[in-house]
Parts: sequence; C-alpha cells; structure tokens
Amino acid sequence: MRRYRRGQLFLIEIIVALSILFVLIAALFSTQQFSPPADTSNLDQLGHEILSTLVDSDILFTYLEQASYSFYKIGERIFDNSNETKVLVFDTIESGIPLIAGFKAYAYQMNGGQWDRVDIVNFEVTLPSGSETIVNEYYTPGFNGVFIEYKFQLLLWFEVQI
Amino acid sequence: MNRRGQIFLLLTVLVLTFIIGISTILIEVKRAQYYDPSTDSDRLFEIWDNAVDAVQQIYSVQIAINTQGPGVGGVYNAEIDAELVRLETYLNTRGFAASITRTIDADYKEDAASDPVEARMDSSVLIIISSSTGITIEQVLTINIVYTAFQNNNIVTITKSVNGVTIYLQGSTVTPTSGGTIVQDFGNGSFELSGAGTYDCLTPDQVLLPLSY
Repeated sequence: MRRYRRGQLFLIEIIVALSILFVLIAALFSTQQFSPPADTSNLDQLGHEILSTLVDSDILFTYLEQASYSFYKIGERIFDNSNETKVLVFDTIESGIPLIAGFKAYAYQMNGGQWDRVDIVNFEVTLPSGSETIVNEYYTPGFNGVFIEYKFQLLLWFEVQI
Repeated sequence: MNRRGQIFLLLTVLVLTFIIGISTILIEVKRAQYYDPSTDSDRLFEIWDNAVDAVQQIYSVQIAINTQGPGVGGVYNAEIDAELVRLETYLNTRGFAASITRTIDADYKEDAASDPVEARMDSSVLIIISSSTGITIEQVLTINIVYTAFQNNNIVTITKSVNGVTIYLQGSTVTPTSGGTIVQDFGNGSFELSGAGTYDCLTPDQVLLPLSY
C-alpha cells in the first residue's frame, strides 16, 4: 500500500514537472507579445515615399509618356531597358528600398475603359511565392493630343521573411 | 507531507503561468482596437495625396490642351468636370468613396504677346474622400497653376508654378520656328538663344509657350 502510493506520487510529480517545463517554455516565447509591435513591415510607407519622389522630380511623368509611346506607336511590348528615363525610375526605386527587399513595377494606360499594361520595370524578377507583397499605386492624368489616364503600380516585398 | 507541499508549490507555479498566458491574450485583444484602423488611415492619406496631385494634373492637362492641339476654347469647364468624374471612378475602384466637385469655374488666361509669356488657370475644387472604416477627409483645394517662359537677355527659362511654388522644368524643349538658333541647353529649364526669331517652348507636360525674341 505504501509502496503503491509512493509510485503514484512519483508519476504525478513527473507529469507536473513536464507540464511546468512545457508551459514555461511556451510563456518564454509568448513574452514577445508584451513588447510593442515590431516596425518591420513599413514597405507600404516606403513605397509611397518613393512614388512621391518620382512624381516630384517629374521622372515618372516623362517615363509614362515614353512607355506609352513605345507601346502604342512603336509597338514594343517592353520598353527598352537601357532607356535613360527608365533607368532613372529603376535606380530611384532600387536606392529607396532596403537591401533585402525586392521590387517590380507596372505602368498602365487607360484605353477605352480598360487598363492596358504598357510597360514593366524590373521585368526579369519573378514575384515571390512565400512573401507578402505590398502594392502602391499612383494615378495621374496626361496629355498627348487628347486627355489620357496613367497609373503606376509599385510592388514591394521582402526577399527574407521577417 | 513534505512531498504534498512540494506538489502544492508546483501547482501554484503552474497556475501563475496560466494566468500570465491568459492576461497576455487579453492585452493583445485590448491593444488591437488601437492599431488596427491606422493601416486604413495611412492608405487614406496616400490616396488623398494622389487625388490632390491628380486634380492639379487635370488642370495642367487643360492648360496644355488650350495652348496647343485641338483648341477646345471655352468648354474646358465641362471637360474638367468629366475628368474629375473619371478620377472619382478610379478612387472608387481602389475602395474609397470619393466626391470631387469644382466649386469655382476655371479661369484660363493666356498671354503670348508680353514678356514673360504665360498660360495660367485658376479654380477651386472640393474633395471629399472616405474610407470603408468611416474616416473622411474633406477640403477645398485652391488651384493656381502658371506656366511661364521668361527671358533675360538671351537666356530663356521655363517654369511651372503651383499655388505660388515655382519649379524649373528640366525636361522642357525649345525649338526655333523662324529665325534664331539654340546655342545651349543648360539642362535645368534654361536655354541660351541666338538671333531674333520666334521659338516654341514645350514643357514636359505638353504646354506650348510661343516666345518671340
């Protein structure tokens, strides 16, 4: 009888000890919830700043006009990568984002009620499959004989998951 | 007896850890209501910036249309209204309720004869944009856009002024239409001219300013 009770106590002790260990480890990991949320995913804000920079320096507008000309008048699906304005757009975006972030951008023009994709910046890059992509869009009217509408879509993501 | 006290102690620790765990969840829930809507309002401010730029651009385009291309004459107010509706439609597709209305008739003035040569448009637009969470921004935007080509001796400089803020238009071009030649393009919106003649100054947003020197 005495021996049986001692075995029972030992068993309970082991179970309790294990569960305490488990809960303590779980609590240790959950303590990060007490700290303020980490400010890692500020890509949205960053994308907006980059677009503002492009707009203020008039680069974006010139680029959209040239891309539109290339698409509709020359008939090239992708606007020449070595074009000076396109390189400026590329460099402005690339220098504005963190090293571990990737980007891709699309230029659209309104054509009879639907958006034509007239050009792609950073064409070679494929969109990430396991990462969150932030989309920033900028709309601007333009003129080439008639009133036209452009929109520029900037996609940003982290190459490394944070 | 000693052992029972030990177990009691262990159970106390166990219960304490559970309490901490539950309170953590409660803090999360309590805090969520403060930082959740902020993402939406950030988006709203971005959209707002874009809308203001777009409205100003619509007026710039109208100046361009009036200085060149198919002269639409006095119908630009109707054109502006139609273009503001298109902007509303775009904002709606982005998931924001928008109402953009012209509150004052656009006033277009062109002064090709004098120095400086200028084309300007003045107006006022009421913009109301609401997000899905019910945050609304409402403001009357004063529009005052002036394109200028002014000459100083044989240097001509092309500028754009939006609500009093003047920028030099780097991407501009100047072509002589009769007599005269371009000596140098300074690359900052200024050009050195040579000889009397007439010149066409074209800004990056297609505003045409005829200059005689």
